[in-house]
Amino acid sequence: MPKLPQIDGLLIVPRLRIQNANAISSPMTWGFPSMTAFLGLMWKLERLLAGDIAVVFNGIGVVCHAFEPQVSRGGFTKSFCLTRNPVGKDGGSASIVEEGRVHLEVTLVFGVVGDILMASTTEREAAAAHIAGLLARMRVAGGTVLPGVSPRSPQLIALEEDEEKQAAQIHAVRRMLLPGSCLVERNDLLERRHQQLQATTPATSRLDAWLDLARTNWRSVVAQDENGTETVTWQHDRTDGWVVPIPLGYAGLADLEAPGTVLNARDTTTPFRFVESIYGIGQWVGAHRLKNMHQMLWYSSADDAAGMYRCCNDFTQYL
Amino acid sequence: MSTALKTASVLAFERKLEPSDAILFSGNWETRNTEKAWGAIAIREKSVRGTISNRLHLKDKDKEKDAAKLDAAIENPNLQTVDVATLAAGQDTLKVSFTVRVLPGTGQPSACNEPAYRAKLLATVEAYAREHTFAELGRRYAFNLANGRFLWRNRMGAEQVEVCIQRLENGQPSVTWTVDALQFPLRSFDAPAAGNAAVDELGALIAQGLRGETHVLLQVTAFARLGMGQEVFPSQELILDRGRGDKSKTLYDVSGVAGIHSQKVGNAIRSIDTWYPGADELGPIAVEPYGSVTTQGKAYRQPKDKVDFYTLLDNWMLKDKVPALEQQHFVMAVLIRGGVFGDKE
Repeated sequence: MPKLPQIDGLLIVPRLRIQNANAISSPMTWGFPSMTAFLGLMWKLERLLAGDIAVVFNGIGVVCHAFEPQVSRGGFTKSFCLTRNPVGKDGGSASIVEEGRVHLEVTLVFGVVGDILMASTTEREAAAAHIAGLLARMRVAGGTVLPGVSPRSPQLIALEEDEEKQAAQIHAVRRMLLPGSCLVERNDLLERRHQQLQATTPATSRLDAWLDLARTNWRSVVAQDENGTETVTWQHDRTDGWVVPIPLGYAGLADLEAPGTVLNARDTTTPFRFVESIYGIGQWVGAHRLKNMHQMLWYSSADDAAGMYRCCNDFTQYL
Repeated sequence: MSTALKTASVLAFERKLEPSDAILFSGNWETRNTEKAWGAIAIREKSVRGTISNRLHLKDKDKEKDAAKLDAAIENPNLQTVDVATLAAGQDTLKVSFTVRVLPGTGQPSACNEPAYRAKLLATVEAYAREHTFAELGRRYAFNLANGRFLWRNRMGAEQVEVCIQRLENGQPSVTWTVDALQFPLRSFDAPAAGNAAVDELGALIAQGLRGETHVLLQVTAFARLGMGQEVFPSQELILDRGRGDKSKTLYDVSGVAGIHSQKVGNAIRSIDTWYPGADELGPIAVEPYGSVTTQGKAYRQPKDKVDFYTLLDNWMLKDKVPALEQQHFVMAVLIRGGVFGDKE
């Protein structure tokens, strides 16, 4: 069972406005960009910083403040607004590859360790500002970071050893994240739904449970009063809060190939593997409901032998 | 090395000029320097009873039979719901504002699977940067900000157009250039005497940003005096699979404020290509690998003329045939534009 690595401090980059981020992050889901994109961002940032600032990123949390998908308005069925691309060399119009885009406003919370946490307040402020400056020039889930108008500046906070003091710190951090919702993993809900469905239909698979959980199921309930008059009420099963199906990472489809042996691979120095998306259940939780920062942080686990490359979150461990 | 060199099958570049969506506001010309005097322009819906005016075809052999049908078709009203955006009734000026970020690292592929090719590419771009310092490109990009080309149709028929460009540092404007955009031509890059210095300074700054020497963030604000209550033109949305009865024209907005797509702003800024065959007639077109112009359904840089991006790049990288100077500018401009240029074989 993977576990969140050590976290000694938090780096908070508030209110990033992101334009045209990717809204189709897997073959089966659309909406908020996948956590894989944010973990990738974290690693890229770490590489950019290598040597500059003594800091290691061990986890990332995302709080979403605004979500504006680029879809058609009005009507029940919505479709993505697409881009008209330049004509080809013969003057004919280029084929349109459907892509979903979304404008976002997010706060990123990085769980960090490193010597920089011991530094003076000014040094930490400078480091946080430097990192935020780098972030502003990067792409987040394929989207562009717009110059911010955030009244808050980025912060690098060392977490206190003392539990009481730490709780006070976290209280202050949570206030900074409001109003906003935070994406966490809730695979316990999937297990529960799976068991519920299996009670009536033993052949139910996890995929059935996942699909069942991803939608709102309405069921009629017939009640009889003492005169024998039947009344019908409709009930839905959306009682677990704001539950969403999400991609969680990748599972290997074939063996790991040696570097440089697969034609047209992007990178000839890293082992290569064909993968497909794996899915799970996530939940949007109001930032004020977080008990501690470990609940919101995502980290990766890679298991070459099992062929599992997955984003993990420990929310349920602190329920 | 040169014999073994081949184009990477995975080769991609990020765009280096990064505009934001442009946002539209309505106000008055006299109060254009007052921040508070501007109201956001919202998209409205309007349902009109139009007429049938598209060309109807009549076959000769059954002219008589079709004549009745044709009459009926013409008499039918053409009902449609469309989106519109206008200035407020008592206000005569459109304000368009957006930001542009210039990113460093021109010529560095974001993905490349051929280390030798990558090295050659970086060396070539570096040699170009050393010799020509991106000065010509920077100046042309600056020119397209100054002439207000990014206003597109809103610039046509405007009585007065003023463009104000500010360099932002730590969120505060450090330098401001204000120019009369209508003095700048759209068809050439000859600046008027009054605006020459501004374009040169701004161009030098953008070139600096492209060389990676400094971080460049520009705030661009344009004012176009159009007349009270006049219609303005935000971007139109392209929606595939539009359902029956849905609007025939939908306009773009960001959180309820009419806007121009960042892609469209970017297209205007990179309309600097005057080096293609036939440039005398059409003037500058947007930098595209095939010199394609969507509105004309035509590509001006045909591979058979050997002036398309791929031919030029391959000659330069693989065969060491250095293109003419203006084509070098073009190749660099395509790299700044970004794209996926890998050779799949």
